Amino acid sequence: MRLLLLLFSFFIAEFSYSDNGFWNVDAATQVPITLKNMSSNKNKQIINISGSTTVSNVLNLLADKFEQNYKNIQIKISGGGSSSAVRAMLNNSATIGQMSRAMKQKEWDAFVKHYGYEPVEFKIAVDALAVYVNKKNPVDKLTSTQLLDLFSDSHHINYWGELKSDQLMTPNWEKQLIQVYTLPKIAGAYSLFNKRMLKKAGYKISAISEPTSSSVVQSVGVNPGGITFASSFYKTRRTQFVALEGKDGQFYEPVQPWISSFKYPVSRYLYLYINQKPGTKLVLKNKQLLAFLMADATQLLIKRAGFYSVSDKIRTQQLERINQ
Amino acid sequence: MKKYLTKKNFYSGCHYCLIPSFLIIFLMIPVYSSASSSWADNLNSSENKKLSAQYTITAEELDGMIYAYADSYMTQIVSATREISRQAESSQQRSDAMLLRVGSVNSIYDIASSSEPFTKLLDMLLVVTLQSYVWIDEDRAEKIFGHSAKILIDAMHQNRKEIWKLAAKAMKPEQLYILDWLILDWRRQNPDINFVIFTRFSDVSASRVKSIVSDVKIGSGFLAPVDEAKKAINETRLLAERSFFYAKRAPLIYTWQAENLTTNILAKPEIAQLLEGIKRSTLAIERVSEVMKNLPGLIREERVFISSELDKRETSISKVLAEVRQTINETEHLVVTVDKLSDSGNNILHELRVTSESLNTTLITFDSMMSHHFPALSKEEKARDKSKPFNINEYTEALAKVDSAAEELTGLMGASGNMINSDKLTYRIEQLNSAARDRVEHATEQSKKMIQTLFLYIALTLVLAFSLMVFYRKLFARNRGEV
Repeated sequence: MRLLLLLFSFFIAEFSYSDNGFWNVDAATQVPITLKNMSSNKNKQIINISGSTTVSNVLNLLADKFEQNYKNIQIKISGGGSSSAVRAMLNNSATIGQMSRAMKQKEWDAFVKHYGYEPVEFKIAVDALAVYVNKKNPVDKLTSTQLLDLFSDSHHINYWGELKSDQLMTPNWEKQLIQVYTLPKIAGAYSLFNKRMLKKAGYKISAISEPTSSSVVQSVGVNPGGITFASSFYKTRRTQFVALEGKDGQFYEPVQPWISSFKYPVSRYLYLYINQKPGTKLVLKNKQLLAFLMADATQLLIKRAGFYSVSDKIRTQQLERINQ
Repeated sequence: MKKYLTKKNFYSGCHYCLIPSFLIIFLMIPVYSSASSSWADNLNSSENKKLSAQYTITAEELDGMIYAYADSYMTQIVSATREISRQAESSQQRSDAMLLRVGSVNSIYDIASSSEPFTKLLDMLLVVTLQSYVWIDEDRAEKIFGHSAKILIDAMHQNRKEIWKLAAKAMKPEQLYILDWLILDWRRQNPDINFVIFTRFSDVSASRVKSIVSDVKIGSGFLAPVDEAKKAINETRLLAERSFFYAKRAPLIYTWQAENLTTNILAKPEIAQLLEGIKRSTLAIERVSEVMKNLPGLIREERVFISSELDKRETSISKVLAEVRQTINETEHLVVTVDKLSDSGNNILHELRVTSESLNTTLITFDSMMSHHFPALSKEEKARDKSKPFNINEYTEALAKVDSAAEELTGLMGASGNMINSDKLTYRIEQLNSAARDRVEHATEQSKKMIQTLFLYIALTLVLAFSLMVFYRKLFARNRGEV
């Protein structure tokens, strides 16, 4: 009888909600949370993750919630850029590499040469950058050429009136000075936007760099001639999004359907690369982290943080791989 | 003891002397460091430099920067709110500006005079950023201060930029990124809190914030770790600095608070009403006194003015009267002329009527004569033509009807002008054509009839004349034969 009661309580503990009622981890992930790994283990297991600053931003925001659910696990995240991810995995300072781009072939080859097997790739979120202008600005869409003219010095235009746009025919806008605001050079968004939209032409010399996304967006809200790029999370009442020209020549706003389908031109996946030998099961702590990242509630939190969730199809495929 | 430290002894002395030398040096380090001697400091700082080349700011430097920032913040806010008060359209706006000034500056000085530099920085970052969200991004400044809002928006934006610049000296970009996100997220979760100036980072209960704070304190950012040896001395010094800093600024804040209280009281509707009443009464009394004082002069002036005005008006009225009289005379002439014209018209008409009646009478006589002499013809004529006898008035009427039809046509065309683009135009034209056609056809028909009748009568007259001639000729021949 005692044994039966013990088994019953164990069953309840296994399939119960987390203490804050936020994550139904088991339902979403099929990963068992044992009583042992919930609280009894005083020696915390550490997950070392290293690489992209952008991904570390996402993970930093999620780490609190994860650690609340898995009290025996501590996540240590360090930035340094996507290229540092493979280096950290090769010198064993990290078991998981975080990258804001897919691993390059030479990085992949270096990993295979070192370990003798391939890393396992997981897509955890989609990142997209919105272009912001002041709410009084009549422009609501921009072609790739116009975007290049506005952000870079390629055609040396200084006033909004010099931009060839039917939407800017009023005299006030013809004399309105263009003011570009950018994030710092080390921000992932800075190089992503430069590479994807400006074809590496660089930003205007007159561009003002500010430390955070909310500050660049606020500057655009204060300056009618301002323009910037940042995550759509930072939209305010004094700013508006601009639709951008996709590869097909159509204009797309930074909203989930266009971002997830990659029709919006400044979208990219954020990756985690796991060092896992083929034919072996994922280490439990890594499995729990990956399952947590794929859970519905986490994907909602990712959206709240200004990123976008990966498609259901990809999530299902990845969850199957986690549970193999 | 010092001789062991000379280069000569150190390098050239017997090798067993090295052990006590190292021991002495080793023992001396904490002594010197605890006494803050320059040698130990140099050693410590050089070690620190080697350990952490990225450290750019110490806690003391940060503290100094925070004081400077607090004063800069105060300057921005005070000048903005003063300008808003000057441009204020209502006492409520003045009161709001004063409340904002007192609350904001008080909060910033409260943070600046608290104990720990890094916590101060975080709290200032939070307050200034939240304030910028509320007043700039959520349009509160425009709602409350209308056209003067820009002054406040610029000041708030500048304050925000400066505090983040300051934070970037102590924290790494990724740490700033997380704080930025956390502050905005907190605001999104608490959108109804407008009075954000007394929010502190301890209220933003995210463990990630706590971990950032502890990470930065142990050197994960650009802030040098606290030197435990100097901590006690620094704390005593910083406490004195904090007290002095706040004590110097407190009187200014008290003055503003008193001023704010006065503005608030004056902005209350009842007080405003009372003051308005007093102001009105005072003005009325002043006006009455002024009038009384100037009354004799005023009366004299008024009298002169009225007389001159009357003189002026008399002239102008006479002119008008003359003009009116002239006009009346001319009008009378005109009426007489019109009457005359009318009379002559009437005469013409009368003459025409008489003529037509005379002709009519002649024709009727002729008719009766014809009926007398040519009954068959008369019968045939009566049977064939049941129309009235010839009347020239009818001919005139027919012409008048044509004319009126033309007039109606013109009128209808004019009315149709406005309808040129309407769907009813075709119908209207049809109606018009139909009306005109009927009238014209009718008139033409009548005219034809009359002309035919006239010609018939003429023909008959000719026949009659011819017959009479024939009759006369026969009669003459008979009479000649008889004669």
